[in-house]
Amino acid sequence: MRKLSVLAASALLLASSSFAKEINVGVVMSMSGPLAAYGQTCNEGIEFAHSLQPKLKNGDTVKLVLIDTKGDKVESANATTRLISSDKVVGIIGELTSTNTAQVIAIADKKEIPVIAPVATNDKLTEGKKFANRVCFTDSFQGAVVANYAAKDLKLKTAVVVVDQAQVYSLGLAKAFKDAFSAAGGKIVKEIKVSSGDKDFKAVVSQIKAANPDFMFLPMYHPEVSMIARQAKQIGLNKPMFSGDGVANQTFIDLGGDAVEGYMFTDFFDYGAPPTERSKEFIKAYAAKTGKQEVNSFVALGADAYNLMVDAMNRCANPEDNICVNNEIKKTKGFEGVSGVISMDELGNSTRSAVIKVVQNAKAVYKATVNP
Amino acid sequence: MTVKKDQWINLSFVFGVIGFIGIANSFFDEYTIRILNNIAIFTILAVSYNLINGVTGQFSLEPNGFVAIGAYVTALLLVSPEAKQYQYAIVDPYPFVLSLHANFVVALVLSGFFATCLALVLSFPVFRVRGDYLAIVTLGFGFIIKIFAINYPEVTNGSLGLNDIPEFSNLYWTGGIAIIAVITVLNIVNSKFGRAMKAVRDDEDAAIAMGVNTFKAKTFAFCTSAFFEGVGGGLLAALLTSISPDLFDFFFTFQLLIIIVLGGLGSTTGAIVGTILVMGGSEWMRFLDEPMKFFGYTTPAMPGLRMVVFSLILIFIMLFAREGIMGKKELKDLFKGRKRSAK
Repeated sequence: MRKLSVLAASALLLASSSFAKEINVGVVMSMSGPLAAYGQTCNEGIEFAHSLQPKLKNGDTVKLVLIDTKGDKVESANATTRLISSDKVVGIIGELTSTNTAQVIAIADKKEIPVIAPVATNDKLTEGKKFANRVCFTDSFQGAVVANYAAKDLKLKTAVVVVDQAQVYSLGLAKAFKDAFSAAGGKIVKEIKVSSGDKDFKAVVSQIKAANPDFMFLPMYHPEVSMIARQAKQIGLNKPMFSGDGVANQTFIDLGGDAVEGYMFTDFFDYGAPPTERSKEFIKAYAAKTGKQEVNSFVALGADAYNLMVDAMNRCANPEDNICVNNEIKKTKGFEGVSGVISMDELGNSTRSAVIKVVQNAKAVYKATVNP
Repeated sequence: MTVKKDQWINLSFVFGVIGFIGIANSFFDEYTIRILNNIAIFTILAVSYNLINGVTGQFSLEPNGFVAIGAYVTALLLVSPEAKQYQYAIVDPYPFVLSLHANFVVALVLSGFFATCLALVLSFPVFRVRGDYLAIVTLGFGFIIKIFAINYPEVTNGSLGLNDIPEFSNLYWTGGIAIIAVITVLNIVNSKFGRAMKAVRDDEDAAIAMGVNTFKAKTFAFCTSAFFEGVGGGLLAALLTSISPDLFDFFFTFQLLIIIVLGGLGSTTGAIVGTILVMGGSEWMRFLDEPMKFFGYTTPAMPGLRMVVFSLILIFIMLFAREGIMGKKELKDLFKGRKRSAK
């Protein structure tokens, strides 16, 4: 009897594997170039999620086709065209930055291939596009989270915003914050413009000190923010400081040292407070494989971009039907991802929670979860 | 007799390219077509950059600036007012930006025109200096354009750039304009102006002593170069359908510099060969990034490996062909006997 069932099972397996197809999913990512560190982290999440779930429900195997863009727009365009015309992908995950993702979407949208952006937060990215989706939150949501948390929970009234003119991310986040903070009854007393690559922020911190706000909002990336924090401490400016996910990494804390103690920032997820069953499992498997518990937000979002794609493919009768996959992605509600519960809307934007963290004893500590 | 033979070689080459463009769309997939488009656009840029850098010998590092101007002019003229309405995220655009609209040909010509005007104005400060100093002055210009694009969101939409540009560029446009650019540049090089430019390159003081108006020769080369760079930028914008300031940083110039040095400074044929090698080769070598099978053993995917191999190839070429692949030779020189090309 036992033999028979083993035989039957293996026959079934053989039968299903002989019918099982291989379905290509494209990954466009900055694996080399100036943003390689972020791109590789994100791809790590995509590949790890793939290793946990390499097959679809119907037995088809998903094959990831990774193409490097060097963080370049022309190469992003080449990569996307190649994935669609030569590799015949059903969907594309990528790119990293908002401008390069806009390039990927511009081509994929015409060919009706769904794109899931793991970390591109710019509001305008999905506007007017049918096949653009993302698993991260938008800048406007993130800006509102900070503004409401500061105004309502911390009861702060006045703010200074320092914005990085050269970064889309910074401009978008600053604008969202200003709107939301004013709506919540707060007042922006000063806005200061800097440019990424600047090193000397003495004039900036002196201006902030003179304006004497309740707190500062610095929607920028970690190299500049850590320097501003250090130089602010030097002149005795001890107001609370806030940033977006651009500083959500350990490098920021290492660079800032004791100047960033008490620094608050928003993030997508915290490995210490796994929001779903899936994230618990993911962190466990990740720790077993790499030996470390610290699942970076980019790893989690990369994983969710892949998981969401597979989930949508599973719900289609024919997983190779790109139109159906795109519709299913947009219909996703209450999806339990690694980084939290994700619901998609018609535009392809995700509604999801944000996490607020604070730096304590040179570690980012979970403080609160903000639901939309 | 030789003149006639040269013409035949060049003509057959041009007709060969036209024939290739004619049949390419029905033979290749979209990926290959895109690479061919890239090659055509970069041929325009490289050939015109070679005119100022190789033929006239002025070590200028400005193409990213002119390409950016061309791309932005074309983009602003082509994007429909409705699409502009929702794109400007940071600040509202100036009213005149919304009213801009033109067809593709007008947009391309205006792109070239604006770049040329700027080149004309720029030539006065730029050509007061020579050599390394000229490199620094022109490098500064490239940076200024990029910073302008970032800091004037009322016109350029800042670092987000312009999206939803109608995709007008196809192989007929890019290839056709590339042929026009190559023929124009070759005619300039072989004219009286071209000889003056070469005289400036070989010894500027001697050229002045011989009565060559070196400023005029340099400005003429600079403006012609700027015109085609502007047009090339416009074609690039209409091919990518999305542009942002980070596309036009110094690495863009750097890539063009690699192309013309690899092909041979001063050789138009070399610029074309260099473009095909750099633009086509770096895409062709993508298989190096992917997992590979050697005798049953599979190596893991190594993104970035192709650039390592590519750099190695560059080093070897430059070691064994000091003057680039073509040196100063042109296509016609390849068909001549050894004795003649030696002189």
